[in-house]
Amino acid sequence: MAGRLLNRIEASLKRMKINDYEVYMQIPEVSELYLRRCERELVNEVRQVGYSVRVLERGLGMACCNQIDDRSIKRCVTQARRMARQSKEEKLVFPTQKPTPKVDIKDQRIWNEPKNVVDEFQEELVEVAAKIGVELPFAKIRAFKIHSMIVNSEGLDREKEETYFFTEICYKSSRERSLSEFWTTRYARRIEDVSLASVERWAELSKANLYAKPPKTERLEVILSPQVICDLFVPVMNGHCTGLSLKQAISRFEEGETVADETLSIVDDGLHPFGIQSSPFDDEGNPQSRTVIIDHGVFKNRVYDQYYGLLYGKESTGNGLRQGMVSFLVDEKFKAVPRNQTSNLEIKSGEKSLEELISEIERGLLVYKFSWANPDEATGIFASEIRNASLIEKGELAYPVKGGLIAGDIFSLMKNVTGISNQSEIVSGETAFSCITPWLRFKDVQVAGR
Amino acid sequence: MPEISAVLEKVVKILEKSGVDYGDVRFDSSSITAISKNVAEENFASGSIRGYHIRVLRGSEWRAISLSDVEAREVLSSAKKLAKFSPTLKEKSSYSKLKPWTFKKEYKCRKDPTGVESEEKIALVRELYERLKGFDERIVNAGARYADDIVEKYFMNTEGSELYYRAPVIRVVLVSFAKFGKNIQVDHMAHGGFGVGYEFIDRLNIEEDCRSVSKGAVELLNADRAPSGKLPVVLDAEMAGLIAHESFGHGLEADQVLRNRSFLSNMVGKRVASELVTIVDSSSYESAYGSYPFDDEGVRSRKNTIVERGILKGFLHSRETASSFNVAPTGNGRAESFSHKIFVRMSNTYFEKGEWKLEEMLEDIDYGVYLVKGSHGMEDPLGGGLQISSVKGLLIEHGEFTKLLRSISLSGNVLELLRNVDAVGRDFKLDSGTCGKGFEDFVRVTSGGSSLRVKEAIVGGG
Repeated sequence: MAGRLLNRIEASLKRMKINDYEVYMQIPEVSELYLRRCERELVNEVRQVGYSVRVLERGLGMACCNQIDDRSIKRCVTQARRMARQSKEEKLVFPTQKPTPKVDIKDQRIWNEPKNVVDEFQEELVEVAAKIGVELPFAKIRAFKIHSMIVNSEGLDREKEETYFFTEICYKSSRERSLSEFWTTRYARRIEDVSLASVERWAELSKANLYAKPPKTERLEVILSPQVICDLFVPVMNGHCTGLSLKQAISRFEEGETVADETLSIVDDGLHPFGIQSSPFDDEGNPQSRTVIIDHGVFKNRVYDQYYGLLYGKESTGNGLRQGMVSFLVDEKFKAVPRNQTSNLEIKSGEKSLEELISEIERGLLVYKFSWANPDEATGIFASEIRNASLIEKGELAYPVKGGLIAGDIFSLMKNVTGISNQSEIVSGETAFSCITPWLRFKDVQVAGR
Repeated sequence: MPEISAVLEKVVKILEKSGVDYGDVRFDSSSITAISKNVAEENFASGSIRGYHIRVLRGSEWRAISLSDVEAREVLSSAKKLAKFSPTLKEKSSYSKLKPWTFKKEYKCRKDPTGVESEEKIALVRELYERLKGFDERIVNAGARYADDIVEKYFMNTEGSELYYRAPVIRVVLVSFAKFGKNIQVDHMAHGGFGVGYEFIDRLNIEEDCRSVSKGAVELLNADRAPSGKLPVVLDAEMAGLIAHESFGHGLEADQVLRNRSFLSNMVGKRVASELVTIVDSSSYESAYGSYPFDDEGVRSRKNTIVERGILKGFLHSRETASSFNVAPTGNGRAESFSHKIFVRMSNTYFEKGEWKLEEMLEDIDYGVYLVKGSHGMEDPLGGGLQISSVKGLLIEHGEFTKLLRSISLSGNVLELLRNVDAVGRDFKLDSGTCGKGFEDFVRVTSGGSSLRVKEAIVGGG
C-alpha cells in the first residue's frame, strides 16, 4: 500500500511538471493504554497514513496531508508548489542516494506484538507499585511501529522500519498528611531501555520524597541525573552547535574555542545502537553519522543538515530531523519541516562511579528530577524547581529535598564540571528528545530556597 | 461536508445497534497555513490533517480508535470491531446521560483567512520581520510567524446529539534576539484569536508590538541578575495567568482528583486564596484563543467561576469525571486532535479584575521584584508546587522601579502564594499559548487576567 501511494504522489508531481521535489511518508500504528489508579482507563489504537511534499521551485514550499484520495494528493502538491513559488529563492539541492550505515532501531517484540508489550508493561507497573508500597495514580503506555519512506527527484529512495516505546508514569506515596510523587516520561527504541530496575527506582523515589525538606539558599556542588542533563544540555547545544545557529548569529561557540571544562566531551551520535534518534538516514535521506562537537572542552564541529551543509560548504552530517523541541514527534513527523538539530547528544562518561562522585562532596545536592528544566536555548539561562533530590553531607546522602530552585546558565555549568560518572543511559527528557549521558557533577551552583 | 455527516450517522447506528452503554464519533479537520521568517530561513508550509475518533463505553471501560481520513467502509468496519469489545470488569456504567442537542455554526468574519491571498500573509510576515530586525543593530536575529487554521469539528453520539462548527483560528508570534559579545537576550510577544478573520491582524498595532519586542531584548543586554530568596513580588497579568493556569488550574482538573493526585481534592467550599481573588475558566470567552462552542465530548462551552472571592467553588470536568462527581460537565473535555485521548483541560483561565493601580501596588514595597511577561511554567497537581518563569523583571526599591532584571523564576507553594495576595490590579489581559497535559497533548489556551501583589514568595534569578 505504501509503495503504491508513494507512486501516486510522485505521479501527481510529475503530471504537474515539478522537477525538484521530496516526498516523506509515515505509516504508523500505535497501541496505547491509559491507566488510572492501576485500572484501565482507555485502550486506544491509532492508525494513520501521513505524508509531506517539499517542492523546490525558486523557493522551497512544504505541504502535509493525511488523506490518500487523488484530490487530496493533488491539493497537497499544488499547495507545496504555491508555497515554493512565493518563498524566497533558495540554493538547495535535495540529497542524492549515498551508502548508509546499518543501525539497530527496531525492537522485534514491539514490532511483532505491540499490544502484548503494552499489556505486560502495565502488569509490571502495577506489580512494582504493590512491591514498593506506593500508589500508581496514572500511567500511559504506548508502543509504536512505524514504516517510513523518503523519495526525491535526485533519485533518493529510502525506507525503514522502526519502533518506539513510550511511557509516562506517576508513582505516589502518602504518610499521614504528607504526599509525594515521582512523575516522569521516557521514550526508548526498545522495551529493555525502560528497565524494571529504573521503574522500581522511580517508585522508591516517590516514597523517599515523603520526608523531603526544602533547600536553603546557598551555592553548592550539585550532581544532576541523566534525564536532567538531557533537558538542560540538548536544547542549549541545539541553539549553539548547528549550522542553523551559526546562520542565526546566536551561536556562542567558535571552532577551536575552549567552551567547557577539559573533562567534558560531547558527540552527536546518530548511529548509537537503539539511540532514540538513531537511524541509518536522517529525515531528508542523508546518512546519519557521528560528529565530535566538544572534545575535552574545546568546541570542534557543528552538525549540518542538507541546507546548511550546502550553505557553509560542508557535507551534511545527517542532522536534518523532523523533530519538535518541546512537543515530540514520533508518529506524526510528516507534519514537520526538517530542521537542523542534534540527533543523540552523547556526553562521554568518566571514570568514577556515582557513589564516588557523591562521596567526594562535603555538602551538596543530588538532583534526580526538576519539575521542568526548560532552559532558554539562546541564553542558556534556567531556573528550575527541584522535585526529587537528596542533600549530600560529608559524602553521603543525608535526606530528600523538594522545592526551591536551581538557577544558572548552561555555559557556566559546562565550565564548572567537577566529575562525570562512569555509566551512561540512553535517555529522553521532558523538553529534549534524546541524549546518552552519565551523571554530571558541577561546582558553585546557585540553589534558592528558604 | 454532507458525506462526513453521513459516515458519522452510520457509525452511530452501528454503535447503537451493538448495545454499547455510550458511544460517540468525532471528525476533526485542520487546514493550516504557516509562514515564518527569521534571519536564516523563510518557511512556508500548509497542511490538511483530518481524521475520525470513535469511542465506546461498556460498563466502566472505554475503547477508542483514531483513524486518519480513510475510506468510509474502513471507518465503519473499525467501528463494528471496536463496539464488540468485552469489558474485563463487570461493573455497570455510571456514565450520566445528557440531553441531546444540535448545533451548527460557521463563524462569520469580515475576511475569512482562506479568502486572503498568501502573498498578503507573506508580506505581513516579511514586514514584521523587518521591523523586528531593523530596530537596532544589536538585534542579530528575529522571528515572525503567522499561522491560520481552519478548524472544523463534527460530533455525533448515541444520545442523539449532532454538532458542527467551522472556525478560523489565527496566531502571530514575534521574537527578537539581541546580542552583545557573548551576551544574548530574548524577548517575545504573541497574539491569537478563535473564530476571528484576517481583520484580527488589521487590528494589531504591528509597529508598536515589533518595537516593544526588539526594545525589550536590547534592554535585557544590560539587565542585572535578579536576587534569589524570599521577597515581596508583583506579577504582571501574564505572570498571574501562568499561576492561574499552570500552578493552580491543573489541580482543578477533575481527572487529577480521580487519580488522587490533586492538592485541591478536599478543598471545595474552602478558602484557597485571599478574598481578593476570583479565578475563572471560560471556554465561551468571545474570540479568545482558548475558546470553542462545544468541547470534544459535545458539551456546550461556558464560563466556570472556579474560585470566588477566595473560596473554591468546584472542579473542571469532562463528562466522565462529572459522572463520577455527580455534577454537570463543565465543557472541558478536550483532545489535541482526532489521534489523541480526551482529557480534562482548561480553556481561557484568568484572574478577575481588582481595583489596584500598579503604582499603588508598588508603594508599600521596600525591596522586592516585579515579574514581567510569562516565559514558561510547569504544573504540580499533587503538591501545588510553583514553577513559573518570567522573561524579565524589575527591581523594586522603596516603592519604585530601580533596575531591569533578567528572567526570574518563582517557586514555593501556590496556595501559600494565593493566600498572600494582598492586591489585585485593575488591568486585564489574556495571553495566548498552548498547554500540555503533562508533557504532551497540546491544546489552545489563554491565561492572564489582572496583575497581583504577593506579600512574599521564593524567587530565583537565572
